[in-house]
Amino acid sequence: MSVLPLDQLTAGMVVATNVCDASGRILLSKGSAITDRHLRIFKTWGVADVDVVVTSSPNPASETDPNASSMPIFPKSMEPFCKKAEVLFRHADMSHPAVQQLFAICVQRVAQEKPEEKKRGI
Amino acid sequence: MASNRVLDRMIEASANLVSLPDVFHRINAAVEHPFSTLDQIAAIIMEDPGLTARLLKIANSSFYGLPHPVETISRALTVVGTRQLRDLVMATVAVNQFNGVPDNLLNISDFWRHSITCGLAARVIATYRREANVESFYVAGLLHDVGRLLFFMIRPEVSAKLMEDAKSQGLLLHQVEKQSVGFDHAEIGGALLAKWKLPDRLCQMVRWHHQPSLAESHMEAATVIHIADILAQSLRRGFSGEWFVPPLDVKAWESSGLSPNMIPTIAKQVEKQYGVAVHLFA
Repeated sequence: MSVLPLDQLTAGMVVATNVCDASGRILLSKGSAITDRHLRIFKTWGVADVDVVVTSSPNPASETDPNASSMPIFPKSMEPFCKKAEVLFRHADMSHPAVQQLFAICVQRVAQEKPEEKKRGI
Repeated sequence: MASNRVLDRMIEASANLVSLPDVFHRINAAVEHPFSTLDQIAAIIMEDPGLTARLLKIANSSFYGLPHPVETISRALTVVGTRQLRDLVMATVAVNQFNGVPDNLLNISDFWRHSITCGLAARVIATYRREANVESFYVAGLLHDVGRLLFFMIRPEVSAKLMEDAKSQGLLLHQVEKQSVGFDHAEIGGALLAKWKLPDRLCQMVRWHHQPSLAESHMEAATVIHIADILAQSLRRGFSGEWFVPPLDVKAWESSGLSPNMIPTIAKQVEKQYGVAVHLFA
């Protein structure tokens, strides 16, 4: 089993637990295979991630620790922006998956920053 | 205990600088009164032309996406909802109280940009959590750092030194505040809103936005502001005086029911609404 965000799901994957919307309504029951239509429904009803049955894991790290794979890997060109974001996140617990998502957002924003924004803060 | 007295004195002193106008208390009383009509509430709002114009601007914005223009306050009350409109009134009049903050310590428009981002994030998170009045989360996000503004007004030299110390030593500003003065901006903000007799839930959300799991009541609501503040800081929209991303209260996060994979979606929605929200605020 592996919890995947919506954009990493593909048709044919089998869901390991019931997929529900925010009010608890079942959108797809466990054991069913996902189709393209289901992916659209998940998106419409605000499903963030789905627990799927992993048959052959493309990323061996995710099998031992489901949280380890949520840290995005940045290309080398992003390195200076990562360095800056690391300074900003010096008080944060980088092992927490939610903090890793926030860090990724911060790196993207630092990379897009205009000169007048750069002057502000560190 | 000495620091408590300092805080009390500071809140007392604030009365000469900032106080909620009479119109807010009258609107609040009318909204809460079981026999008041929409027209009565509208009549009180319309005594203040500035407030009327601002509320109509908000009701006509893309936030509500209404097919027909809203031309009267009583129509705005119907489509936006009386409680929501009351909360927007509260935000508008509270923000107006801080017009006189000196601009040399920190850019006041940057300060409100951070607050707006936090408010938007709080509203998006509240929507995902299916909270009843999402506008009250926007208001709490907008006001979460007002304690810092009050501190800037009362002790500008101390504020400047604390900000400098936090930057040069790489520390979190709210911890530096606590160490040097004995209390932080969240405590000042909570106490100020309580003195203004604003709802206890709002006071708690502001008071505990850095450590929601310590809140005795309204912990879940405070958690929404806590997460929204961290997201706003990560998005680097605006600047409230804090240089670093505050640490996540893991215990509160776990009780929030949010999944880490929802964060990019929430951030995208905040970014989409940001331009309109800043424009409405100006």
